[in-house]
Amino acid sequence: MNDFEKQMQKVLRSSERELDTETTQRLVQSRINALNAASKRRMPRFFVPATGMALASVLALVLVLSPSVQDYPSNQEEILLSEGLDLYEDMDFYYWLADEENLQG
Amino acid sequence: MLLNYYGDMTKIDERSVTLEQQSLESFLVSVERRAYRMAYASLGHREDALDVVQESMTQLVARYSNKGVDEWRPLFYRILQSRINDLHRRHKIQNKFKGWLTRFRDKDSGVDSELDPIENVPGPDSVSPHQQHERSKQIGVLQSALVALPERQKQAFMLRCWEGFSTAETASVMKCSEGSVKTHYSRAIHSLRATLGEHWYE
Repeated sequence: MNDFEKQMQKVLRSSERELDTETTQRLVQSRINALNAASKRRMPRFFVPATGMALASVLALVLVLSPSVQDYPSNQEEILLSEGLDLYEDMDFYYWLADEENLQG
Repeated sequence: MLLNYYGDMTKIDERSVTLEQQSLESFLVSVERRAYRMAYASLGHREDALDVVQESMTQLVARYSNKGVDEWRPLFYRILQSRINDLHRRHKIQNKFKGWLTRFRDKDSGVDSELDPIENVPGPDSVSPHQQHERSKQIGVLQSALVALPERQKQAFMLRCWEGFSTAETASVMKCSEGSVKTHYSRAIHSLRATLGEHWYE
C-alpha cells in the first residue's frame, strides 16, 4: 500500500471513532438484538415441546399397540413386563425422533 | 440415570454457548462502527445504513456462528455487501416507478443526498478543537469522494483499503474474480487521486 492509500486508510479508520452518540447507541442495540435472537434459538437438547412431542408419540403408540380388555391374558404381570420391554426397546427411536423434530424446529 | 446424563450434557452445552456468545459479541463490537460507516458511504442514508448493519449482524449470528472465528469477518462483510446491493436494487425499482417523486423524497423525508454534517460531530474522546476540525474536514472530503465512486469500485476500495482484506478475500466477499477486484480497486484509486489530489491530507 502506498502513502496515498495508507493515508486514506488512516482517515477512514479514524472516522469510525467519531460517530455521534445516538448512532453509537443504535449500533449497540443492534448488536444486542442480534445476540438475543441467537440465544432464543438455542433450545436445550430436550426442550419441553420436543420432549412433549416424543412423549405424545410414545403414548399414542402404546395406546395403539396395547391389547384390548378382552384379549388380556390371565398373566397380567407377564404381559405388562413384555410391553414395558417393547416400549424401552423403542425408546432410542423416540429420542431420535425428538432430536430430528428439534433440529427441524 | 438418563435424566442425569442429559442434565450434565446441558451444562456442557451452556458453557460452550456462553463462550461462543462472548466471542460473537467481541467480534460484533470490532466491526459495528466500520460496517456502519461503509454502509453509510454506500447508501447515503443513516437509517438504511443502520438497518443493513442490524440485518447483517443478525444473519451472521443466526447462520454462521458455528463457523470458525476466522471466517466470521469475510462472511460478515459478504452479508453486508449483499444487503447493501439488495437495498440499491430495491431503491432502483422504487425510483423507476416513482421517478418524479424522488426529488421531493430527497427534500422532505430526510434522505441524505449529501453527507450529513452531524455525522462528523466529534465523539467524547476527541482531540484538540483544531485537530478535530482538521480531521473532520479530511473525513468529509474523503467520504464525499468515496460516495461519488461507482458501486463496485467503492466496494473494492472499502474492502481492500479500509478493511485491509487481501485481493483473494475481497474477491470472495464481492463474489467476483481477483482480476475484477484489481481492476475495480485500481480505478477507484485513480478516481480518488484525481478528485482529492496527491496530498489532500496535508
